[in-house]
Order: sequence, then structure tokens, then C-alpha cells
Amino acid sequence: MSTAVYIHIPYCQSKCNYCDFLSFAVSSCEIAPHIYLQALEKELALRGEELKKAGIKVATLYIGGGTPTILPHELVSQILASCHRHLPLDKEVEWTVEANPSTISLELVKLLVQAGVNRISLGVQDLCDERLALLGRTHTAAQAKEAILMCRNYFPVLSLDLMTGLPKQTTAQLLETLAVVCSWEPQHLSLYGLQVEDGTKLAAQLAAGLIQLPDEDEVGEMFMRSRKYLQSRGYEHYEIANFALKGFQCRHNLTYWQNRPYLGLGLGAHSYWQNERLANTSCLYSYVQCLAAGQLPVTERLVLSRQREIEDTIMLGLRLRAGIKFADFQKRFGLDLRRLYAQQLQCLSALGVIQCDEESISLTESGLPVANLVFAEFIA
Amino acid sequence: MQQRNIRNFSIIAHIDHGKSTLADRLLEKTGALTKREMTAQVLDQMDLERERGITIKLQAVRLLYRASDGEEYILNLIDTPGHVDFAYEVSRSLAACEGALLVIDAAQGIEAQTLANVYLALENNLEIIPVINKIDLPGADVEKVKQELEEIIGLPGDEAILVSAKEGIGIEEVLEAVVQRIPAPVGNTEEALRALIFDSHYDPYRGAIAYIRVMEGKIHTHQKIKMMSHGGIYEVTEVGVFQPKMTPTDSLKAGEVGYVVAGIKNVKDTRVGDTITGAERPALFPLPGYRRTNPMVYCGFYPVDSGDYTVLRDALEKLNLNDAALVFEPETSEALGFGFRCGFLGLLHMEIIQERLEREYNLSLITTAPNVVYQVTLHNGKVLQIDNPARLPKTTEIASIAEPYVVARIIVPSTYVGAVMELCQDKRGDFINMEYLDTSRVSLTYEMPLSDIVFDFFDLLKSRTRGYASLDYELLGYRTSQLVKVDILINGELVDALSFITHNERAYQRGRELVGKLRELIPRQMFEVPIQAAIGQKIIARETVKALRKNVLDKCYGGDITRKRKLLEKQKAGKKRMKQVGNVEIPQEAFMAVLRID
Repeated sequence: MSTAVYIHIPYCQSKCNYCDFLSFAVSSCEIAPHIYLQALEKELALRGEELKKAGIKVATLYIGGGTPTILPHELVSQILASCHRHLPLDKEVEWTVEANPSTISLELVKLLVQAGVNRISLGVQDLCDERLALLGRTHTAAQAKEAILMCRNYFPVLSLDLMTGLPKQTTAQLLETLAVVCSWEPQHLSLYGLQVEDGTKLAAQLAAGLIQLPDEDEVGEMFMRSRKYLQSRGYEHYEIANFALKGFQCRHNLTYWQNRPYLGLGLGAHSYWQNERLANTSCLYSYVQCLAAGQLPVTERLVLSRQREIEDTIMLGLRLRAGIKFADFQKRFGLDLRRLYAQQLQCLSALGVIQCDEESISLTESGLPVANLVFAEFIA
Repeated sequence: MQQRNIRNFSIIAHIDHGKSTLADRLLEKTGALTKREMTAQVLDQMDLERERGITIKLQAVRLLYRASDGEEYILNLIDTPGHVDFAYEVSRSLAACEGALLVIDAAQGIEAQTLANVYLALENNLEIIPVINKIDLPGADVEKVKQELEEIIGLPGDEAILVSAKEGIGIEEVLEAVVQRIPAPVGNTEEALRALIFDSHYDPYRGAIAYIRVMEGKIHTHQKIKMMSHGGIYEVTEVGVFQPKMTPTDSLKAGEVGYVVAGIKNVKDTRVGDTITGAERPALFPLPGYRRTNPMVYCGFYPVDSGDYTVLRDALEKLNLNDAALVFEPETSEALGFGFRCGFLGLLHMEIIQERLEREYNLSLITTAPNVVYQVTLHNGKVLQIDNPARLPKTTEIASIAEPYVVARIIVPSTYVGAVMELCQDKRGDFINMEYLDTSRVSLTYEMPLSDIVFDFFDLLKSRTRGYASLDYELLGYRTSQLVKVDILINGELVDALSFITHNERAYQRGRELVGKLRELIPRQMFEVPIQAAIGQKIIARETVKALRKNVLDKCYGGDITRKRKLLEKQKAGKKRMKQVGNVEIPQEAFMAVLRID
């Protein structure tokens, strides 16, 4: 038995304009990182104990944020040591750390690799300095290149995050960026469309007319062209936003898409554990207090009905290009997906947005741009 | 009280000239209400009326006033609705009076509705007292208004009372003028009963309550009465007066204004304009002027959620209890399912009903574009009344189609004459007359199809004249026109609820415009959606709603699946507010789109 563990480090150098993740600028945060890490260590201990008792190994470990690498190196080491101390890591563990290119140094890279981190995910986003500044990113294209070239020599897997649909971005520019990025030979690429979330600086800038975003057609075009280009460069499009060379799919994220259990540790982290969806508190004070009292900081708990579990499995599984295997579904729920959703499958197939064969159901190419509408059809 | 101490009067005015404010002041001055009891504009009781600043449902109130001659008078103020949709109701409440206060805005002068109301008042032989209101405004030009009174209406300008209802100036003078200038009612109390119904309302405990002016004879409790239009007989359980709350009295005599409760189940049985007489000693003839009001405008109401059909039916029935002018019957649309075709006095009436259904009954409705009633003559000689374009017979069966025409009077500053003439022409108006009211204002008369005037004409008129034009119209009758039905096909399927009837010459343009509007209103879907306009089999316009290009949740949100799901649920909820026609989701507004094209 094995599972996936996510650890959230909610600190950043500064908040990016589009970001609505749970993160704080490290300089302005009232609870210092070392206090947070003490609490996190307690949570790791509690959950690690539970895993060990149940004989469950950690197959994938993902340290994300925020920017985990913004912390001083001794604190980064402390996190890595805590993981080793408390978590029953599998021999073949896929261990990812997220990093901002501006935080990468040889010292840090060595520290991570020595601790057993074998996958680094760099938030490159774009290679246009003007646009990076506009987004509130703290790095430049040159820094990104430097970090990438360093990382790829040390980490078995290099993953890069890129964004589409950015202000003033054109399809041509994006393709050019991808060509440069591909020349650095990352094993894994995530391509995220910029989303305007309420309450972000970006939303305010847009509302004030300070920036304009490319229209829906252009963004759609960017995605489809990027996809085609990356495929031509040998990347498999294996999930709506993710591309990988053969054998380098992100096992950690696959856990989410396959709707299998995972534990999320740290501030505001989410877990899917023993058929419940759990959320940790998003309040730093409560988080620290809870763990000081020896309690898990879980504040939201949703027991999933069987129907909900089925719906989630479909909504998540259809994100994978491989789709959902009928046999897997049958094995998990004892039901025939084809019969359960006969009407939806027929209608959506007729519209050409999904395809069914003997073994599985998946989105078609024309289903990709309308994925949400397709998923919504399966939600009661 | 004796007849000679009674005065029955109305206030008539163009919209916004301050009628309701003046009524409020009169109530306040005569102590009918204390200041504390007054919310602004007491007579406009419905929320909607207060919000829109217009009177829809007319009301009556009895004021007690001790005049300067030392005697006490009963002044019955009968309020009138201030919108052209309700012209018949206005005429009936005027028929219940001997005089009227003609309120004119000191800055605006005489407007189209001022004139229309004056004509109604003159038809009913009312004594007219001109009141120039808002004299406190910086733009007030009292002398000019006096001049207009003399030149346009033919009333002596120096008899006008100068008032600022807002500031409470001239209110006493108005009350004195009502007493001195308006004649007391005449009418023999010994004659057979004849009482005019000028309004009614429905009370859930007591049934329909008729608002009446007794013209002859008297009416008292336990009396058996008869409605002369339909012969229904009822026993009076209560009569009373409005102070302004309903206050029972023993009887109402000729000249008096009040209400009657008689266990009448439905306001349809207390029709405005009808005559109440005694069942045992009936009058020979009813009072003149009664007519059944026929709906001028029809539209379809459909619940967005088809499960709300019975809620909608119950709601319409409840509203109908209080509004005999509203008619409705079940209707089925292939596109929209089960709903009701409803008839209204005009567009305002329609909007009011629609808003009340949505607000008071919490219904989410799809309203189809309103249309007038067409008279269709078939080759076999049969004549059909068509109140729904989708029901128009096949072209091959039709000999001719006639549509209602109105005569419209527009008063406008002379600088805008050209703009108004152009607009009237656009709306298929036939020029009848142009008259200079004074050096700067012109009265234009056009005969126009009702269907063109009833929708956006007034808005266009206002916008092209910077709000200076005023409009009044009345029905002329039916005229044959070259009319065709334009159908709309969405994704190849005919959407019956979007069909409209229009003049042959304008069909192409309107078809194109509507299809263009629909393309903007229909959200992009999973697939490309063609939208076409057709006359018969012939496609006259086509647009395409492109398929969605980007509707993906990219981010992982650190395993926050619940958030992802909430976004999908939100999307799903958005979909529920739309109507599914074939495979296509169509938003509510799309069904009104035909209104938003010229």
C-alpha cells in the first residue's frame, strides 16, 4: 500500500499579481517560518505515525507552496529532514520540490539532491521580462535559463511551469518560448492558462483597464498550437495541462486525477483520506495552536457519498488523455460506467467531444477546449 | 352631508408633473393623514408604483375641509393612473367627478398627456382648474405656461393657481378653488340606483370591492344590487368611504364616493365602467361609456424551471383577482414547453406583471417578445384573431392580415421636429398633421401601426429629443398591411417562441438584426451553433455562434478537488438559468431580443 503526500509552504518573496493561492510575502508575515515549521513537523509526526501503523508507504512527496525555496537553506534542510524522520518514504519515492528560478543556487540544488529530492518544478511562466514584471514575478528570463541549466544537471527530472493567455501574449510568441524551453530538454512541462481570480491584483488591473488579455479564441488557439508543437517535440499530452516525455508523467499529480487518496500537510492543505475530503485551517495562528495542542488542524471534513465519489472519479479521470478505463471503474464501484451514464455518453459522443472504445472513455481533441462543460454533464 | 357640500374631483397631469406630490399635500393639509403616517406619495401604494414614480392602480380618498366660508366640505379625490396604457381607466375615474385639477409643470409646460387628459376631462364635462406646479424651480416660466393655457387649451391663464407641491406653496388656494369652482354633484337620491364603478380591488377575506361614485339613488347594506353589464346579483354587506382607510357607513347617496362589499368573488365581476343598480328596482339604462377593455399586447410567460408551471398558474390567478385587465391562457411552445399567453393593456402593464411575478412569487421567467393582436382573413373567408406569431396560419391559406393602428400625438420643441418625423417614418407612420403650439413647440400627428409604437418607440422618441418629446396615442382600428412572419432557427431547429410578424419591407433587415443580436446573446457552446432567420422556407439571414475555445480548469489547487467541483457546480447552475432548445442553451434575454432591434 502506498499513497501521495503534499506539503504546503505558504511563503513567497512577494505575491504574484494573478495568485490566489494561500501564500504570504515572507517579510510581512506575522508568524515566522521557523514557528510554522515547528508546527508542520508535529503534523508530519502525527500523520507519519498513522501511515507507519497502517503500513502505507509514501510513493510520491510534493513540497509546494508558495515558494518552499524562498526559506533560508537551514530551514529547507529542516523540512527535508522532517520528511525523512517522520514519513515512511518508499524506496522509489518521487520527490518534487517547487522553486522559483530566482531562488536557485548551486548550494540549494545540492542540498535538495542530497536529501533525496529527485524532481524539481520551476515556475518559469514566460521568457519575456516585461511580462514577467507585469505579472509580479520576481525573476527574469535570464535567471530562469541559469536555474534550468543548473537544475537539469542535478535532478533526474526537471519540470517547468509555463503560462498561456498572458497580457499582450501572442500565439507566435508563445511558440517561440516553447521552442527555447524545449531546447533545454525538460522531461515535464505544465502549461497553465492564466485565470483571473477574484480579489487578485490582476483582477483589479483588468477592471481598471490597465491591462488587456488576449480573447478566448486567441487563448484557445495558443493552447491547441502549443499542444501540437510539444507533441512534435516528443512530449506526450497526458493531462489537460500537462506534457511529459515518455516515462516522466508526474506520478504525484496522477494520484489526484485518478481520484486516489492523498494527504495534504501544512496550512490550508487538502487531503482525500479514508473517503473524506479534508481541509486544514487556512489561519496560520490556528494552525500553530492546533498542532501545539497535539491536534490535527483539520477544519473542513466532507464525507463523500458514493455518488459523489463516482462523479469526482469521472470529472478527474476525464482530465487524463487516457481517460477512464471501464474495467478500472467496474473494479472500483462494481458498476458499468457505460450503463450508468448511457445518456450522457451517447449525447457527448454525438457532439464529438468524447470518444468511447471497447476499453475506455476519454475527451477528444475537440472536447479539450470545452472540458468543463463535458465534466458538468456528469455532475448531478 | 348635503350634496352641495360635496366635491368630487381628479388630478390630471402629464407624467412627472407632480400629481402625486400635490395629492399628498392635499391629504396632509386636510388632516386625512398626519405627517407621521405619510410615507412619500401615499396614493401610490404599490412598491412598484413608488419605485417608478407612477400611479398604476388608481385610488380614492375622502378629505374633510373647512372652507373659508365657514362650512365643512367633503372633497373626494379620485386619483388617476398616469400612463397611456390605462387611458380607459382614466376616463372612467374622470366620469366619476365634476371637476379636475389640471397640473402643469411650470418648467415643462403643456405636454402630450396634458392635452390628452384635458380632452378626456372635457368629454366628461368637467370643470378644469389649471394648477401650475413646481413654481419654485429655477427653470419655472409661469407666464409662458399661462400663455400656453390660453392658446393651446383655451383656459384663462390668470385663473391658474400657482403651486409648489414640494414646498407646500398654494395648497390652501387649491382647496378653496375646489370648493368654489367645482360644481357640487347633482343627482336625485330618490331615483333608481345608478353607481359607476371606477375601480376595484380584491380582498382575500371579502372578495372584490368595488370603488363607486353614486350618480343617482342610494346604496345601503343588505340591499340587493345588480351589475348591469353581466346581470350578476349580489347582496351588499358593507358600504363605506375612504378616509383614506376604508371606513364603513350606513349608506352612500347620489353624489357620494365610496366602496361596496357584496361577496363578489372576482374583480372580473366589478368591471371598471360598469353600472351598479338595485336588483329590486333596477334602472332602465346603464350609465354611458362602459366598454370591455381588450388586451392590446400579448406575450408568453414560461417558467425557466418547468416544474414551476403550477406556481406560475397560481400566481397569475392571484394577480388576476386584482387585475381584470390581465388575461391569460395556457399555451405550449415547442421550444419553451408549458407556459401562458398573457394579454395586457400595454407594455408597461406587461412589465409590471412580469416584475410582480418575479418579485412577489419568486419565479424565474422567460418572457417572449410582446406582440399585438393580428386579424387574419383566410381565403375561405374565416377571420382569425392571432395573438401569437407562432400560430399564424400558412401563407397559402391567408388572404390578408390586418394590424391595429393608432393615432399618435407628439409634442416636441421645434428643433426636434425633423428627428421625430424621421422616427415616425421609420416606424411606418403616416403623417396627418403638424401644428405650431407656440413659437417653439410643435404638435405632430401621425397614424401608426400599434406594433411599432408599443415597443421601443417611446424610448427612441425620448432619446432622439433629449427627453423633450411627449407622446399620447389612441386606438384607431384595424388596417390591412403587407405582413409576413419571420421564423428563427437555432442549430437548424425552429424556435417557435422567437417567431415575429413584421412588415414585408422590413423583414430582411429585422431578421438580420435579430440574428445578429442572438449571436451576441447566446453563449458559446460545445459546438458551433448556426442561427438563421427564415420567411417560410427561405433563409434570409445567418450568423454563427462559434464553439467554445477555452473552458478548462487548468490548475491543480494543491489537491483542492472541492474547489474544482464547486466551479463546475456553478457552471451547471448557470446552465439551469437557460432554456435548452434542442442541444443549445439559450439565455432568458434572448427571447426578448426582438425588442432590442429597431
